[in-house]
Amino acid sequence: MPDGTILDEAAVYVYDGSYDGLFTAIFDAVYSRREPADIVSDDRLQLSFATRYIETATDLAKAARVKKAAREKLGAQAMKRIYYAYLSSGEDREMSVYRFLMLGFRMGKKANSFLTDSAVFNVMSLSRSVSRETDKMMGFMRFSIMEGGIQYCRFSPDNNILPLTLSHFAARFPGIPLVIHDTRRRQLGIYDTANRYIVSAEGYVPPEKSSDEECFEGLWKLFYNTIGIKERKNLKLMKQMMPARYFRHVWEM
Amino acid sequence: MDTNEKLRILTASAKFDAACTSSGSRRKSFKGGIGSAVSAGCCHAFSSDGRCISLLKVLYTNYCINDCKYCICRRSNDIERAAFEPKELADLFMNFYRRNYVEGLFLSSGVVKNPDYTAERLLEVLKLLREEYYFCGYIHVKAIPGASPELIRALGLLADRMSVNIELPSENSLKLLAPQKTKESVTKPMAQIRDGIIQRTREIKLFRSTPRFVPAGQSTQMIIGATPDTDYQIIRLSQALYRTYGLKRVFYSAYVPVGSHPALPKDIQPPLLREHRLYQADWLMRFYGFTADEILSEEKSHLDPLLDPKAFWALNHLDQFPVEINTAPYEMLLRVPGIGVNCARRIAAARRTAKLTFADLKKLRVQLKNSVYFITCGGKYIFPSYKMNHSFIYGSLTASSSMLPAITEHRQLTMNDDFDSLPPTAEERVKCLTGQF
Repeated sequence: MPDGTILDEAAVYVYDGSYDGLFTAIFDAVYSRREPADIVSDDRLQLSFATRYIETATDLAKAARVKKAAREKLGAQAMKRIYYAYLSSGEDREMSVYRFLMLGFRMGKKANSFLTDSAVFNVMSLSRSVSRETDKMMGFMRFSIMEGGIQYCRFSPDNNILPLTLSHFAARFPGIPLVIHDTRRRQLGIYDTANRYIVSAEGYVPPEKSSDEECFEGLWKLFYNTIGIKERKNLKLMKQMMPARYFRHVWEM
Repeated sequence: MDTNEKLRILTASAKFDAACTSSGSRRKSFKGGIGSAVSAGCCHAFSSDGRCISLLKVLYTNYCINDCKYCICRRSNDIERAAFEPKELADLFMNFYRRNYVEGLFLSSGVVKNPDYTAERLLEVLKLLREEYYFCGYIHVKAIPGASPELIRALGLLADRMSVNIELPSENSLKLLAPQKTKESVTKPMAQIRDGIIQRTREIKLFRSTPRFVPAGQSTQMIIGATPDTDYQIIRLSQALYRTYGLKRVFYSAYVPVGSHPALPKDIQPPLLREHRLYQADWLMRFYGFTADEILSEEKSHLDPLLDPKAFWALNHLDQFPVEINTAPYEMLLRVPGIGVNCARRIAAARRTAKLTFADLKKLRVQLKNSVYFITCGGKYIFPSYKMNHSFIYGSLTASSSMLPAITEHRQLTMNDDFDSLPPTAEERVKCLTGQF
């Protein structure tokens, strides 16, 4: 090896955090014929001594080959689950995806129901947590209408669900420009009524709220406070359905 | 009167309607339109009573010519009255929708002047939303009993779901408390909506462009605890409604005392546990293949407050248990207490590739707390089989703390496990205290 590291060491593959990057890393790992020690995105990398790191440069052709093979072997449903698992915040998501794919290349579609295998189960449960959070957030996100007619929403999800929520709202409001601000990952999802982008939110200052915003926020609070039946008051049930970490999004309560 | 006041009054009058679901319909927005609907539905908030808020649930007006004793809007009740203008309501709704406060509109109304006049007002609001604002999201509208079939049909072509409330589970109660309503006035629009849906499903096979008619189906609601009707009567009625009218949902609403009629109970707490048990029984009929007569009977006419209806059924049919997880048919897995539809599906998929053990079930997130008494894995119970009798299982299911032995990958329980040397279980501790040992 040119970099002079210990040859026996299993390698840690480092990718740039993109979906194609992950598949490039998996491609490289498969063709090295060695089980990787780990696959991590570069922002989570913690260098340690005596570990061999291989930086993979995202290569769309390599990624497309792995994706195509995976789709043929495992089916479209599994590809969706893999994508959702990739969006999750699980520390072991890349290795779970890698192991699930390896199993799939060996077993074919049957791997989808091999739920007693920890990698398969992990991919399934990570993807479930992402789709569950997406479903919840689609309800709990609140837009404000800003000066100039842009709809702006700030949120901080546990998983990286910005692309999923952005495409949901872009399909729901086709004629309205949207900005969704993920304050945890400092990213903006932008929909300009034609295309969707995800960009860094460094230095972004949202425009002022429009003048009638306060009026509708008041009306919604009024509705929220009136619709509850006081004879049935049950705050425990309310909190069970709407865990405390969502409270900052649902400001009406 | 300003919109603030109207919203407050007309929300307060609408809150007793239990239906607030946005599921069952899929809609996409088109260019220039706004809104969509997902078939799973979506909750946007939860109110202080723990119920989901998914739709902007308001009455068009709470003026009413009827005098139903159980209803807060009855003519003889002295409350603030108000009515929206169609444009005002449509504007308010669209503003809520754009800010993602709600998933759709739930529009009901008191009966003003006559049923036809009321239905025309509702139609006006729906037309405004669909044809001027190009709203493509979810709308639930009440079919006003007594309105003409043409109006009901016109509403159904614009709405996703329609509902006619039965309100009281028997005709006697209806006669007593809602003198202006008859069974017929409720079932007539129900039958019309059913036939409309059937006709549309037939026509869609011939013409692709057949207009949609109530795509999310119809629902109804019954008030629980205002009349002496039994749970058995109620679930029998629900079953008949599901079968003959093809309803999507029957909602149960615990009676909150709002009336003073001598036939109505006074100063009662809303029977929330009873309502919960009825919903459980309802789910058993819709998703688990149970019939009303399996759940209850003439002799046993009320649901058990301590046990959920499925556990109650299983305890009385111990001859059909244990169920072997690795070989039992899917229908039988569904009948095990603690195993739901998702779990049963997961088990059915996973057992194709591997023989399942209790540790595997835990991994599949099967809730073992209630199910262990009814299942075996590889022919073995988790408890020694001599313990498996009615009183042990009943005690365990109703105990407040879990009695499960720890399940780990490494330690498989065997027949030779000496259970009696384990620390006493919660149930045994209770037995010691009550002197049953």
